[in-house]
Amino acid sequence: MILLIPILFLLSLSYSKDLALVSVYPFYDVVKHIGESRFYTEVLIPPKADYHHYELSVSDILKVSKAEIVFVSGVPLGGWEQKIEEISKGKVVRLSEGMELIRMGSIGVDPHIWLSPKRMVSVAKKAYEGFVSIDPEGKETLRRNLREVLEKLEDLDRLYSSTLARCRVRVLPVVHPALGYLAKDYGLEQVYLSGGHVHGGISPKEMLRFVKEIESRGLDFVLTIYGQPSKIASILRSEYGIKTYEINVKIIPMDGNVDYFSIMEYNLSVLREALRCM
Amino acid sequence: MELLSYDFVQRGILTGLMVGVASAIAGVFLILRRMAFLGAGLSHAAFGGIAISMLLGVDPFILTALFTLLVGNIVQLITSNRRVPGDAAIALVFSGGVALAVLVLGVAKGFSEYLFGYLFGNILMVTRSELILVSISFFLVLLFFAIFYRKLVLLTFSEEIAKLRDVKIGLMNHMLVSVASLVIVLSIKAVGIILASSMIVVPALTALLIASSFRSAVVIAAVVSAFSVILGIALAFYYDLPPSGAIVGGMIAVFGAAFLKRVLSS
Repeated sequence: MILLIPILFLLSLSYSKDLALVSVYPFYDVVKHIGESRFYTEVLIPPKADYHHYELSVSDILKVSKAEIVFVSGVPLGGWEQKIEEISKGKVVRLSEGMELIRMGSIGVDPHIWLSPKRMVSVAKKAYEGFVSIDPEGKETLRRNLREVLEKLEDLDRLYSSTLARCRVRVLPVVHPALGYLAKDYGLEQVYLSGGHVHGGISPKEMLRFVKEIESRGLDFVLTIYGQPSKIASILRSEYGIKTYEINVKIIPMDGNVDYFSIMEYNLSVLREALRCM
Repeated sequence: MELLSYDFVQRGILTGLMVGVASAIAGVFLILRRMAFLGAGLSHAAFGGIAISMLLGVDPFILTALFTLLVGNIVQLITSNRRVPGDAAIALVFSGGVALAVLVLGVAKGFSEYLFGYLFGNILMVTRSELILVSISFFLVLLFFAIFYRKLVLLTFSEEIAKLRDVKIGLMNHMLVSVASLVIVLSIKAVGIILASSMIVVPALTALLIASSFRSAVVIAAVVSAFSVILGIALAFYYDLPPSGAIVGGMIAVFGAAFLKRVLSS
């Protein structure tokens, strides 16, 4: 019982802070760190949820309604994120605002800004501005937190830059066009499988085009998406003998890697092997 | 009442009540005219309208309402004089609407994630501007039934007598189908494309089981619908359930109770 009292006290402290909501997990660690000791930060949708087709539950809407500030991608990631922007005007911060976004023809805007550490620097600054706008008294704490986050992001950026600069392969062949920002910011080229819908319904013609492109560029591997079982990956492996490497695109917590930074380091280790970096 | 302290719940209940009452009243006329399946046909046809509005980047409510209105009147036109059987015409627009949506999705990529949100709807995500549009549509539907109530009742029970009383049958049918189309678009806002027709059919069916007169059937249908909407939203709120399923589940539960009462009393 005596042990319970400090735990309950700590719990009450965390809940007494204003709630900051982050729409998806990839932004969670960065935003949480910046709001540390001033806000209680929660992520809205589960890390493994399908961003494109997610439907908000009543408890999700309740959280949005209770939150003091809501951070969304600003792309938006799906109808649900667009709806959040519509119903919570005034407390929404678009993390991609002011950023030059990649437009991919008929597919629309590429939302995967978090896969480039350089873009996350801009995301962190945007989150800081959002926090300061509703908590000017906490500016000093928030600024200190931002500095810490920026240091970590700049370290990660340096690690990505130095590693990817030494890769023999300069092309990222991927089954889902998620690596556009990473490729653009680190001097690589993305080739991807496109189709009727970015998450499925790939036509045989498109599949053949993709395989031919991989072969013509002398590549022997394809990057697939972690946590998203793919028929395409198994076809590429069994029918064409192409190796597959999994990239954790949605920053889903996995064994030993639970936060944005460790998962991004894991992704870099995958790229290091696939792209034959020295 | 924690439930009512949230503005999104207030908007949801208001929208649900207006949609529920409008669709229940329309449902009584449609069921008695053996047009119950029209709701399912038009809601799926509306899927095509929603896809087009997204393709054109215009407000889905207004364009879908116009599209569904057009489709509903086409159904009425081709079924009048028994040129095409009514159920076949509804099946035609049912599959036609879905096919159109699939085609639009295939041609213009990138917004399927927005389109699928319409399949099940979410009444707790209604914005202020949507609430205004729903209110205007609700009053238009009520006005129609208030003005043409007698003529509609005549038409429902006997087209021959209605003809003798100088009711313009063709015009009246087109007006009823137009209102039904608008009601369907409202129902999609509340419970989504797949469940929209239940808003029209289930409360009206319940009312017709227990009502002693036509007028009381209309009132009971509206009350059953309003009750189910409030019950469904409350259940969804307190037990974290999808509102559309909870609302329609509530309607079916009330129908089940009414049916049981009817069976036991006979």
